[in-house]
Amino acid sequence: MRGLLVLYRWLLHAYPRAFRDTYGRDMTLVFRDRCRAVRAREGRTALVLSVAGACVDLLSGGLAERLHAARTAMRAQAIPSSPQSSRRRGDSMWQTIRQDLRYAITSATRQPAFALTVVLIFALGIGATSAIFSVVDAVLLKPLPYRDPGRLVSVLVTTPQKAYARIPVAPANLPDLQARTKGFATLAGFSPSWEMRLTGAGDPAEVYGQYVSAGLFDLLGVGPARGRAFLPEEDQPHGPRVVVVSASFWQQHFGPSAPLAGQTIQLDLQPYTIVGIMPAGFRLPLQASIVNERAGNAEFWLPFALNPYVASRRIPVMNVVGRLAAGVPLARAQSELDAVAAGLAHDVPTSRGQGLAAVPLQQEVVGHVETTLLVLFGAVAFLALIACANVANLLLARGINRSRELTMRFALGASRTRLVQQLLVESALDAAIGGLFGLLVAYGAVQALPGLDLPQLPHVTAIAVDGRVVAFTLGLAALTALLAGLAPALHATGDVALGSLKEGARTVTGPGRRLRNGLVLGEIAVALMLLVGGGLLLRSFWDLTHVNPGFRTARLVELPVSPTPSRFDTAERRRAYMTDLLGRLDGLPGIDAAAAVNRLPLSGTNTLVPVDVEGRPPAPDGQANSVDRRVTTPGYFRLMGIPLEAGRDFTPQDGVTAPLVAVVNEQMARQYWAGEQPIGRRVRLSLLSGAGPWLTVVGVIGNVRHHGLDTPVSPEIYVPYAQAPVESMTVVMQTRTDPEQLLGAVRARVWAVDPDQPVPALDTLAGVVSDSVATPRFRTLLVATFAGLALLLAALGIYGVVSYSVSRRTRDIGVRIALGAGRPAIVRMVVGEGLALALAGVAVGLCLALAATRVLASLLFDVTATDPLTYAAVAAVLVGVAGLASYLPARRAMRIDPIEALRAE
Amino acid sequence: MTPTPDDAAAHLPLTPVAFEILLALADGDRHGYDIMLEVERRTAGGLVLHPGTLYRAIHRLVEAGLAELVEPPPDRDSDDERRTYFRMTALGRRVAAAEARRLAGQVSAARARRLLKDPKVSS
Repeated sequence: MRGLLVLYRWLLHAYPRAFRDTYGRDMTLVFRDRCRAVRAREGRTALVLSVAGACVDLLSGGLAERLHAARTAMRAQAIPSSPQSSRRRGDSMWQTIRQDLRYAITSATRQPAFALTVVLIFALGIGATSAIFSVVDAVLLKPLPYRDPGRLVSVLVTTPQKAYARIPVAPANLPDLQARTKGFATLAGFSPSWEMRLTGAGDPAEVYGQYVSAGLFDLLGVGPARGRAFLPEEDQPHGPRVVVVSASFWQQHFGPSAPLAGQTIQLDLQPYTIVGIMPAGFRLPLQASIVNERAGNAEFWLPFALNPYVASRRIPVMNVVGRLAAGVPLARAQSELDAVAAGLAHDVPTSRGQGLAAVPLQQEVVGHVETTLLVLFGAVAFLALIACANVANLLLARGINRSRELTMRFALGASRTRLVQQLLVESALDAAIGGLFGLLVAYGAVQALPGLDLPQLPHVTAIAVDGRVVAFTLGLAALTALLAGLAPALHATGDVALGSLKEGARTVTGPGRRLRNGLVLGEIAVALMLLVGGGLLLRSFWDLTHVNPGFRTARLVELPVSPTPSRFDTAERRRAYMTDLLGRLDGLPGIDAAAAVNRLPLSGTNTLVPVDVEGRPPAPDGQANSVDRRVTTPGYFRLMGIPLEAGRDFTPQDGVTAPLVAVVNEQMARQYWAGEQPIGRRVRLSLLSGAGPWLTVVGVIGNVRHHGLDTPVSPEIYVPYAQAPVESMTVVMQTRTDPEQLLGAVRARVWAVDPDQPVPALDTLAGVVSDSVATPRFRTLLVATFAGLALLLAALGIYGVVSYSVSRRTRDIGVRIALGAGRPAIVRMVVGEGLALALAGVAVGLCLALAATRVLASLLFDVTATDPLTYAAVAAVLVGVAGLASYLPARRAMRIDPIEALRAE
Repeated sequence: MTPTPDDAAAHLPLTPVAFEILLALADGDRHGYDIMLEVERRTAGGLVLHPGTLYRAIHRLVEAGLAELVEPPPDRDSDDERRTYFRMTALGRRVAAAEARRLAGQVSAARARRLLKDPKVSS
């Protein structure tokens, strides 16, 4: 908050001094009070918007106030102004601007290198900012694409366990929610993306669809583009097999002009009748994450009544969305939900200990990326600020070189206002061209986005350079033109107005030098802040990718399989399927070993199951001891390099008739049998059908980071597939050759067992691990890039200031050399000047960084926001670069020939 | 009628922001943030002023002699943040009243033409 106030006070300089003196302090107080209120009431995004609005208001208001003051002063000189003369003045103002533009173009073509540099710096700053803005706008600022989205809320189940903080609702609980609440106009639900098999159209393919309850499309206010949505009677038990498909699915399989009536598709070997086609780009409001990475690509929607878990009060597979009734605030809906949760906990055993929470839908869908995006936007805004300082410095230098031209025009009768306007038009022209290039930069960046690996960014498809982004870019260009151009223009004309027509005024003291040094100092300080941010994220990412996941990835590939239900409908048939499949794959040339697991580490899927441990009292309701349950085939641990700490792995002898066994992980052993022998203990898992049979622990394996590299390990129980033949498994294979080359052979073997099993590709386990850190990688890469660019611009700034000072002091240096000063002394003097600036900038920057990097704290892993090593390293790098940037002009100074230097006067 | 500087009519029409500020000051002296909150409250959030806009408008009113700066009342703001308070001048009150009459005239004209009765327009 303090940083904001400093910024605001600085921006107040846009106003005339008298105004500032009278109202400045009060304005800052009002700004502060308002920021506090907005932050408390509406959150951080609103605060950022409000601050941005206040700054724009301040700058434009300041300019208007200066104009007003000037006009008042003119009127005070008793110049009568009639309406006609003011109209004429308007005309002539437009004329002078056109004249200035022509003049600006001429002077730009006279110094093309200078103009190009300025335009490029503008393009960089504006382009990067616009690109990030287009993401922030699409993801955070634009309302969700549904009718009256502000009244939509997501209803979630809450539990005391942190790792599972946001759970969907069990489908059979939806009717209770609908019946027991009055605050919602409607409540409806939909499933996460469901993988199904599309057959009857070429190779079997895996496609994703969602089950939706009948009122959902109505609730969202989005209907099919062609055909109809589901009828209430279609969302009933034993209802017809009907499907609504996406526009792209229809386009791909039927073509735009095909008739809708009577078209069918085959999903999981069952025919479905297509009744409607949704508009292009339609998607349901689901938080994007690794699990439902392909949720955005849901290609069809089915009535929820067809979902296998529709009658379950335990399996949470329904994302419930509600529309608040007119006039009902969120708080009232929440208190109703609290009452419903209490009622359910009483009536339904599986709901015990669970709460219900109403979260604004927008927040549920995008809340998890808010911090990342605001950090990125902040970083890029600071980069743009550095770019402005850099351009301002260049313009200052040029202003000094042009002082003779300006003096001449002043002498010929041009007023100072007129000259300032002329210079501002020049920087506005540069910024406008830079802004155009910046738009191209933003457009290119947005086009490149889908190619980047961004599984956790919602609305990726909605990101575009649209009218809003163009308007933002134009505004930004105007703002940067003013920020970069105003001070140099005032300064250049200030000298002129003072009448300094003195020839050979070679001093580098005075306000010009102070302004330039101040700008560079600011650049260094902000660059340091960005570098610290980038450094912290880099270190944290490095630590994250060097966490031991608990398994190896080398030469391992994975293939999800689910035996076609109609063909492998019994446990016996699935057991036979898995034995047959693994046997065939194991014998394949190029494959050393194959085993299967139902939930692959870091894939984002887990199964939380309540557990009873023999000899321990059962936990009270709601705080059930829960573990992650996994199913594996023998040899999986060895294949994955998961160490066996005690006991044994499963063997083929652990069959259906053998005693029931389990393997636990170290965390489970430590949590339930600390200091005791876990082997031989018995545990019991609660399954869908109720409490399961007792299992005997036969082995303990090492911990595996299943939930994420940065997430603590949970207790786990593994059971053998032969004793728990679940429907979906993932086969892991150790390969000796390129997975691409194996794909054909693997396909043939899989299809020999089950011809309808899709085999899209073999993904490497290294890829799975890498995907799990896509979001930190994305933000680290971007912030580090911005920090690198900031360093480059700051180095250019130092170089510019020092080499300018050297060129101004050629004579002075020549005299020193003539008087016997050694070359090293000259180098020390010049480099010392640059270093002094850099050190002052670093000192200011360290304070800024300490304040600013606090917002990063939640994004860091294993590193604190005040990590001394990062701060020290970044400061050292910056001082080193500053030294280098001043050494180049120092070498030039060293080579000055004293005789030449003196003669040149 | 020749307008004199003191004539309320010469200041009409007021800008919406200026009128809102005078309305806020009609109750008594207020400081800037207080004015902002009052305007926000009265317009139910419809008019949110940034500090720059607010103080420029206040400055215009002060220049025109419709409002003046006053010392904060002694019993308030003991929290070491002495703020400038603003007071509506007698001229300011006459101008605000004249503006209100002018607006009332427009409203009754609108009503006479059934613009206000028609729900499609008023909603």
